[in-house]
Amino acid sequence: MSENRAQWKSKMGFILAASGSAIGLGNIVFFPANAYKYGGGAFYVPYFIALFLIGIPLMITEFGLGGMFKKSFPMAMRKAGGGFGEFVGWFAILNAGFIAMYYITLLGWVAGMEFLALTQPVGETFDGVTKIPWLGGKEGGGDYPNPAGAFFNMISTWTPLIGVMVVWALNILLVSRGTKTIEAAVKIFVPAMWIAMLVLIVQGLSLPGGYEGVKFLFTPEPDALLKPQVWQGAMSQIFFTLTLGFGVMTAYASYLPKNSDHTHNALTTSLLNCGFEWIAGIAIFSMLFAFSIAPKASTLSMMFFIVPKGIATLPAGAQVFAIGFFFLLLIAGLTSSISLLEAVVSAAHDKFKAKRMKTLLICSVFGFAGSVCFAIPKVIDNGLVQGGTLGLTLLDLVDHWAFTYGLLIVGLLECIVIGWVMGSEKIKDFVNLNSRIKLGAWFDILLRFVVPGLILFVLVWVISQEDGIYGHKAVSGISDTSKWLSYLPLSALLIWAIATTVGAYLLSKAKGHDDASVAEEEQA
Amino acid sequence: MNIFSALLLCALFSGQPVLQSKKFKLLDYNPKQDVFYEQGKEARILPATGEGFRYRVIFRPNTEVEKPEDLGVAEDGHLHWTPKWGGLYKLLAYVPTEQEDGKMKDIEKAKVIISVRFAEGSYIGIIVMILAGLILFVGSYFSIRSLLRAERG
Repeated sequence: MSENRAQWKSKMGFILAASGSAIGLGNIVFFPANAYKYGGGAFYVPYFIALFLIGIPLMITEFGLGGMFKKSFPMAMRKAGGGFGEFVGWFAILNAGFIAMYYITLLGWVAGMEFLALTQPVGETFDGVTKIPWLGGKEGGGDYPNPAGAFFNMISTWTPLIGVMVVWALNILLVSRGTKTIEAAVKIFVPAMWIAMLVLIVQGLSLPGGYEGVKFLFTPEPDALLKPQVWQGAMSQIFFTLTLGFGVMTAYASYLPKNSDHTHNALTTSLLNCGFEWIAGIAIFSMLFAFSIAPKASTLSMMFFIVPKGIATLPAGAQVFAIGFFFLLLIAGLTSSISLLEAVVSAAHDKFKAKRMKTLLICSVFGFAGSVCFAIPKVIDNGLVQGGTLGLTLLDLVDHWAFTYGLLIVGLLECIVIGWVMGSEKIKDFVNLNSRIKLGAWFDILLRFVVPGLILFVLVWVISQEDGIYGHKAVSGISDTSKWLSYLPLSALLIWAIATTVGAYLLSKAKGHDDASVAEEEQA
Repeated sequence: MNIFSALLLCALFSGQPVLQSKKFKLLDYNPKQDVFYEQGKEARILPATGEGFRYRVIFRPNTEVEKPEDLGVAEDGHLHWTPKWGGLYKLLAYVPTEQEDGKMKDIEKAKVIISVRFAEGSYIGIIVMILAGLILFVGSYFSIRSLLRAERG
C-alpha cells in the first residue's frame, strides 16, 4: 500500500508546502502583536527556548511519525499507540476540521476586504465612518468608525459568503490531486508571500519613523522575563505557529521518501516559519510606529482594524498598500488552509480507502456547512460592544476551545503516545537512520518529560485564567438579551467537545480498510 | 503662554468651547511629516480639559509590561512630560470615580497614542534584531543547503 502512496516531486516542494502550512495569518499579524505584548526584544529569550525545547523536537516527532509509517496522523498514531493512539489522531483531525471551517470563513472576510480595497477608495473604506443600518438598534442606524465600521457592515450581510465559496473552491482545486496540486500551488504562493512581505518591509521602513518602530519592537524590556505569562505566551506562540497538533505535518511527511532527513526538514521548516515572523514583525511595527498605533494581541483586530486603519492614513500609495496587505493575508491563509484540508482528507482516505475526490468532496461539504455557520450575518450585538454578528461570536467561542485547548491537548497526548506507549527511542532510531544530525538521549528526555511538562504548564495556566465558561460575560453584556444567547457559550463548548471526542471515538472504532494489516502488524 | 491663551489655542484648533477641550493637542508632533517627540526631550502637549481631569502616560500600552507615570500640568498649561524611553505611549485623561460597590475606578475621558523617537546612540533594539535574524536565517541557510546537497547526492 505504502509503495503506491503519492510523493512530493522534490524536497524543496515539501519544504515549501510544510513552511507554507506553518506560515499563516497568525505569523503576519499575531506574532508582532504578541512580541510587543510580552516585552519586545526580551520576548525572544523564551521564544527561542520554546522553539528549541518544544517546537523543533515535536516537529521532528510529527515528521518522523509520517515518515516511519507512511500514513496520515490517525493511522500513524494507531500504529504508534494502538486504539488510544488512533483516538488521539482522530481527535486532532476533527479539531483541525473545526479550525479549517472558521479559518476559511476568515479568509472569505479577507477576500471581502480585498474586494473593498480594489473597488473603493481606501481613504473612505478604511478611514472615516460607515453608516450601519442596525447600529444602536435605532431607526436609520448610525455611523461607526472605519475600518471596523466597513468590516461589521460587510459581515452583517451574506455577501462575504461569495468570498467563502471562492476560498473553498480554491481549496478543493488545490487539494484535488494531493501532492501534485499542492506542490504546484506552494511553488507559486510561498515565494509570492515572501516577496509581498519584503515589499511591505520596504514600504514600512520608508515611512517616517518606520526604522524607529523596528528599534522599538526589538528593544528588550527585561522585567518581562520575570513574568510567567510571558513564558506561557512564548510557548503557546511556538506551539501554534508551527502548526503542531493538527496532524498536518505527519500527513505531509508521509508523502516523503523513507530515507528523508527529518531532523533537517524540521529545522528548516521551523526556522523558515520563525524567520517569516521576524520579517513580519519588522514590516508591521515600522507601520504601527509611523501611524502611532498600539497593537492588541488579537489576529482579528490586527488584520481587519489596526493595520488597515494605519494604511488608510498613509500620505501616498495607501490603495496599493491595502491591496498588497490583503493579498498577502489571502495567500498566506490559503497555503495553511489547504494543509488543514489535506490533513483531514488524507486521514479519511487512509482509513476508508474511498476515492480521493469523493473523500475530498464529502469533507468539503461538511466543511463548507461549518464555514457558513461562522458567516451567519444575524446581528446579535447592535451596540457593537462584542462580536456584532452571530457568526463572529460563534467563531470566537469555537476558536477559544479548538485553538487554545484542542491543540495543546493533542500535543500532550501525542507526547504520551509516542514518548511512553510506543517509546521515544523508536522514533529517534528511525529519524537517526537518515539524518545527518543525530538525536541523542536528550531527545528522549525532551519528548517524554520536558515537552509534555511544558505543555501541561501552559494548559494549567490557561485553565487558571478562565473565569467561568468562556464567553458568558461577553454574551451577557451584549444588547440582544434573547434568552437563547445566554446558552451560546456552553453550547459552543459542548458541540466542540462532543464532536471531537465522540467523533474520534466512533471513527477510531469504525472498521477501516486498513484494519486487517494493522492487526497483523500489532500481532507481529 | 499662560493657561488661558493655551486653552484658547486649544479651543481654536478643536472648535470646542473654551476650557472644555475633549482632545489632547500634540504640539510639534506630526508623524506624517516625520516630526516626533524624542526620548529625553520635553514634549509639548496641551491637555484635554474637564472637571476633575487627571493625566497619565503609559509606556508600552496593552502589554504585560506597561509602565504608567502620572503627569502634572505646568503653569503655562502644558503637560509636564519628558519621555524616558523611545517607543509607543498612551496618554490619557481620566477622572477617578467612585463605583456602586464603593471602589474607585479611573474613568477614561480622552486618550491618544504617541510615538517617541529613540535618543541618538540607542542601538540595543537593532542588536537584538540582528542577533535573532542571524539565528533564524543562518540556521535556515545551512539547513536548506544540507537538504539540497543530500538531494543532489
